[in-house]
Amino acid sequence: MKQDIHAYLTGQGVSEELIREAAAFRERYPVEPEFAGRVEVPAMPFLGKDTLEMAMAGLLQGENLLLCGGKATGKNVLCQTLSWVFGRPAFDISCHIHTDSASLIGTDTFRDNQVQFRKGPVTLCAQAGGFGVLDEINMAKNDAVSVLHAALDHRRRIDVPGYQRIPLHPAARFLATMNLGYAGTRELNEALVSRFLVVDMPPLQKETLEDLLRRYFPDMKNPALEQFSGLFLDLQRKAGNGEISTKALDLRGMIGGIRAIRSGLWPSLAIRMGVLNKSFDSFEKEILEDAANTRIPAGWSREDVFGG
Amino acid sequence: MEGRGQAAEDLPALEGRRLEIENRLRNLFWTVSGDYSLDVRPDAETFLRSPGLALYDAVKQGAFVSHFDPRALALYTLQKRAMGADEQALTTLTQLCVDAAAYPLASRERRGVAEMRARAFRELLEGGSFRGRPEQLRKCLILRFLGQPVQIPEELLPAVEIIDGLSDARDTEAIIAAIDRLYNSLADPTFEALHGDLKAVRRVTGEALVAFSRSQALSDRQIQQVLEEYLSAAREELLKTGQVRPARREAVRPNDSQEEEVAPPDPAEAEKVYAFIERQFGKSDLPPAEREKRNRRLCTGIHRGCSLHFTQGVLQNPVLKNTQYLRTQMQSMKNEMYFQMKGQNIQRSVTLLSAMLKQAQIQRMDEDAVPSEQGQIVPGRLWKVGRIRDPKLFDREKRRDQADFLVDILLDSSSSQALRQPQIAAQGYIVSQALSLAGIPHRVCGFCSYWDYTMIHRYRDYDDPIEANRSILQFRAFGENRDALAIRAIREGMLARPEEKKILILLSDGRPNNLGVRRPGSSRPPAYVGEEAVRDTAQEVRKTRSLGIGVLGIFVGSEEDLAAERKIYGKEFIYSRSILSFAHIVGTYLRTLMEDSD
Ligand SMILES: Nc1ncnc2c1ncn2[C@@H]1O[C@H](COP(=O)(O)OP(=O)(O)OP(=O)(O)O)[C@@H](O)[C@H]1O
Ligand SMILES: [Mg+2]
Repeated sequence: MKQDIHAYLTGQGVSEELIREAAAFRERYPVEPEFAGRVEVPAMPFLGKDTLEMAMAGLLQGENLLLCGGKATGKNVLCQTLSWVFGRPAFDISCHIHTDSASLIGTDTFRDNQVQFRKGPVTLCAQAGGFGVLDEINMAKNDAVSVLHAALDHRRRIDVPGYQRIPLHPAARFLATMNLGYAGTRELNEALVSRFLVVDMPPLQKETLEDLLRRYFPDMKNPALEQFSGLFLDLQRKAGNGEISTKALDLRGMIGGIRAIRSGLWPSLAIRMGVLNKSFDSFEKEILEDAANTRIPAGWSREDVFGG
Repeated sequence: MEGRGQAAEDLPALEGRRLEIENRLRNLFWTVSGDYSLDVRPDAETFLRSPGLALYDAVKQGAFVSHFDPRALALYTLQKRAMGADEQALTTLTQLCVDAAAYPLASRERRGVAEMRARAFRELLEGGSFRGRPEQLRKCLILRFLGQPVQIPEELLPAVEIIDGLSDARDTEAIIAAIDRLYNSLADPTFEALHGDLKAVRRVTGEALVAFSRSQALSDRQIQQVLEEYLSAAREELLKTGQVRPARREAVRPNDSQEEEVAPPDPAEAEKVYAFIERQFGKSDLPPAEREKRNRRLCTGIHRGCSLHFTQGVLQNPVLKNTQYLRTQMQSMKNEMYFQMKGQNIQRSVTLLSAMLKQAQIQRMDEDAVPSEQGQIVPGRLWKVGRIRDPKLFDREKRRDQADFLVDILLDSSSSQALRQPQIAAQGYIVSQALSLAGIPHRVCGFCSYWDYTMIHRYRDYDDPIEANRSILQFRAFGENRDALAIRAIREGMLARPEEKKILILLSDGRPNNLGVRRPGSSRPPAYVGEEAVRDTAQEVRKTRSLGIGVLGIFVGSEEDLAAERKIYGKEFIYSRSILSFAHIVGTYLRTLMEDSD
């Protein structure tokens, strides 16, 4: 596995120094057996040297990261990749309006006939020295996340009211993600942002996307690969200009659709299922469909997409 | 007509559908061009007849504008026409060359484009007419692309070769050169000898171009403006793949190639249209003879062919309770709800505003009292008796009847206002209520245009009781706006009133715009848009002022139209970001006027 990490990082062109430091980090903080299951090898690691280097350097400096970007820019994939690269267990903490301080750090429960503190994911992560992924942190209310302030700054601790302070394990980090241009997103408050190193996630570039699709589908024909990635970029640009919502901007959906082609589904139908059906607005659907029609001919079959 | 008859009954649906189609086509254009800052005027009409054609046009235009310069192309065709080229033939050949150059680019990048082109071509084949050599050439190319058997005539072979040569055209000049060669060989072999070669064509100046289509003398800047307008209008046509004519017309008048423009109004059709307008907007307030007379008097000049429709609205005077009636009722209920919700605020605004207006009137009365030999005795002056020769112990009130002010409120009720209907209704109501309380006669109307009709919807008349103000809550935004004609219509009513001071206040939210969707059987007046419409509206405002009526334009809209609005209303013009300050602005303006006047 160590071998894999090294191969991946060099493959991405990450600097030798960072690779060495990450390896040292892994050695200094070996994974406790009870959390070994939480260190996953990503099915498809993050692609993008600059972003990766910046994130790694930040984490090595003890920073917490705020990954900001549009939909499908690989925020979650990056989190997963980082926890793998640094060999730390990942704790997923998804945020929403109903997130409150109790659901983050924990709350009192009744167990064995007595009141006990049941740890929340943040507390668990802090003690295990894990990487806590605060997914879509901007969806949570400000006062809910304010309990994290002490954990995120130099104090590196969690204050649980009525209990002792819980210090953070030296390897613990928090990785927050934030969707830009998402309906219902609110501005993050300054006090929270200032506690993170902000990493801007660039929108998927043509080369990265083609690289990605190629990794998923080594046997896809070049023209087909160009059309699928081209379509995704068309939609990404359209969403960026506010002409469509980001619902259809779903790379996983597209990848699933392409997979279905291999099992015999017509490409134009597969695209409809994987991407176009994500939109429930009929006007929007027409716009998506028009874009797809310029790329994927109705006459294409599996043989036009996969060769060999 | 059959096809539309049913749909037309449901106007908002049709209107909504058109916007939807335009948005769809625009998006497809952007998808392909990749440049979302580009502006296009999508052709929803074509889409309704031949969707495949309209979609392919959008794709092709997107590809064309990102590789070539459509303006240069349009300029060339104008130059060529100014030298005597036939518009029809030149347009056809240009369309063929544009398609030949843009298609390979589009289809190389996007694999679905070939199928889209095939669909468009099939529609064109069904609905198009192919007379004359340029059109024959078009037909050959279409058949060849569709893989159908075609015998290309000997004399068209060189032309086909020129067209095929464009498949790797790199710049606009190459396309222009090809068009020119095609025109000079296919359409008019004598052209070069009689008028000159391509170089000579390209030397035609902008001035000459404008003079070619217009005879008035214009300034350099005007020439440039007119030229740009021509160019952008020409572009639309040139980048199309072709035109499919409506099938029925074709059947009725097979020999008339330009019947679209010159169809005389059919009286029976006009009857139907009028009945339709009445159903949609409410019965007319006027007997037929008076209607006729007003139209003849007011719809002149640039508004020739238009009609005015004076009504109190579909809720007040319905013909039947159709969809339009229900929708208007629904909007009116929404306005009512907003009104109830904001009840306190609205009441407070009314009180404030009416107090302000009354105050201004009292002040005028004070100032108007002059010392005099007779009138109201002023005790404080009694000491003068016997001491001063001409003591003027009295005040004579020069007080005039309060009715010497007359106010007209004219609200743009075109569909661009759709997002703020309840707010406009409430603001209109506040102003009206305050004026009523201050005893100032006033009228409130909305205006909008549909087809060649301009509706003047009167919510309350000058001397209506205060209760009538409530009907402003029936405000509904719909259609386009032909501001100048509405101003004319309103002005006539104002001039007939005895009051000395007359003020017209106009709420506007953008430049005048009346494309006049083509409707069957009418003498469609020319589109009322752009620079020309702005100039004409400005003239109407000036004329109104010269007749002694004060005109205040209040503009609530996007800043891009600010310059145009300012041009229209000149000095008496207020820009407000929010409709919510409308009542306040009106109040302040009227107070100032009242205090200043003598
Ligand atoms: N730079 C990247 N490297 C690898 N995969 C990527 C990258 N960008 C996007 N992806 C792919 O896009 C898909 C979505 O990625 P991910 O869920 O991480 O995005 P996200 O930014 O979290 O999006 P969302 O806003 O939907 O949560 C995944 O299938 C992932 O493989
Ligand atoms: Mg995510």
